[in-house]
Amino acid sequence: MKYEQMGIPAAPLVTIAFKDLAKTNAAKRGMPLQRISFTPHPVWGKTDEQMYAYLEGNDPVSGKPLMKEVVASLTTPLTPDEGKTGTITPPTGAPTFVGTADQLQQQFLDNGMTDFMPVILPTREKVDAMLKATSHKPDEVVGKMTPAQGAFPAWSYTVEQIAVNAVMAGAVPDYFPVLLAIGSTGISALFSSTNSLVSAAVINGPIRDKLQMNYGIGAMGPFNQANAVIGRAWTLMSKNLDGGGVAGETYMGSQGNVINYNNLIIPENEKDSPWMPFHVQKGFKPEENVISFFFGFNITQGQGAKGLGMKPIPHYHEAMSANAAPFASLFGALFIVDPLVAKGLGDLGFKTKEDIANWLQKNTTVSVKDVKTMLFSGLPRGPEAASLTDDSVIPKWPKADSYNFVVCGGQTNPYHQLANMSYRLSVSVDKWT
Amino acid sequence: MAKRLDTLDGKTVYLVSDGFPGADAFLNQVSIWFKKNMPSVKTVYRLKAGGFADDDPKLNAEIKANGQAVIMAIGH
Repeated sequence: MKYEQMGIPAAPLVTIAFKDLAKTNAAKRGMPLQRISFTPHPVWGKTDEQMYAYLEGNDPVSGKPLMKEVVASLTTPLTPDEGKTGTITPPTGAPTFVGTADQLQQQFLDNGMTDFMPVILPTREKVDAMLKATSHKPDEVVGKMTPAQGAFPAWSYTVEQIAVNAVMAGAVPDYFPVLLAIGSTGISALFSSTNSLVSAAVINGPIRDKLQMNYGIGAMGPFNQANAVIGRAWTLMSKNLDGGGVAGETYMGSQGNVINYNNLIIPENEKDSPWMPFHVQKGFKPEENVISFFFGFNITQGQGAKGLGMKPIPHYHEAMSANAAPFASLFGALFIVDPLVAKGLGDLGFKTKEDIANWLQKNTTVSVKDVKTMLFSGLPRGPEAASLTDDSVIPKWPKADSYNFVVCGGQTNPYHQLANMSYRLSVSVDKWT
Repeated sequence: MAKRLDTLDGKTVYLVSDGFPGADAFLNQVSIWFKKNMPSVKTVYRLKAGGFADDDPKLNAEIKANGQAVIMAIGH
């Protein structure tokens, strides 16, 4: 798209799995007639001979010889319609709905505006009640969101539009400032990638107790209204405020991910943690209410790794290192540790989160030979790369800040979970009250 | 859309990878196809910096200065 704007004719050669995405995206960017050629999918994992056969074969969409079509797309004069430019305004729908409650539920389902579970109908009365939970005006623009930066145009949205989604998800007005803070970042919970990625939000500060969030027993399970509904609202916002979550168009995760239903919402157990709260690590005051965002592949449990059977204190750090080593280095490691684990690490000498992060950075290593076989785990670049051989051993991640820690859990067992996820940013909730 | 070329003969076509797995090998086959079928076309392979949808101003400038057309591999 950019090349066409530069005056350079371009021929996108797209694997057919991305047909709808490519054509929809071209239309949304004002080039509905962009010349796009398609190959069979995938090309990854195919031999040179198989890929060359794709080129000698036909475009599976047009049925025309593929490379002749590519050459023609760069050399055949544009039709008058192809030369036109313009922008497309996102659909906003009718301002009001007249019908029964069941009919409105069905309309939301038919338009892909839910997670395919029943929603609370956003009546004027309920939306107005939500709007009273913030000092910001209903028509204030909160932010812009896109399913993938650069790939899709970003949509902007207002306080009122977030309120509608908040009601639909089942939020009570007290949750609304948290949802506005999420909206202010423009971070979609439903990234369009084929990798079925997931999103996480860590919540710190007194608001955890005000909202009666659960950071103890079962914190990450379906056992608390605020934990569940805040995450669900984020998913609905990511569908309805940026056009995301349309499978095959703006969402391409091959298998999808159950976490996308309501995301990883992690209120930190500051009370029982021996360590500094996450938001204070990021420069906020303890009394501030803050939400911090992570993004990446998935979450897994940390049990069974070497070190956890050590007595009297399990060597949690060794287990964490073993758990993180196979991760893709494209993202970092987020450890969600029960307070018992944090205290156990403290007994082993790791008095701060930085202590354990620094240890892991130095001691979690991989061989260059192995890195070469690992997808999404690139080798170091720069001058130091020249001296590396297959036998060289390098840190899994070059910096300790790739390891992040949040304390959460009810101390019924010294367990930790970990996610192959990277920290993105932290924002204040208080400015949205 | 940009004005099309009269011909690719003698032109430089940039083959740009979006960074997805397999795109580099696939574009190498595109380069081989041109050598066999349109040998007067010069192809230049480049891996676009950043994520798949990120802009790469440095590469854009290079293409603007040295190229006449782009074939971009998208997907994997």
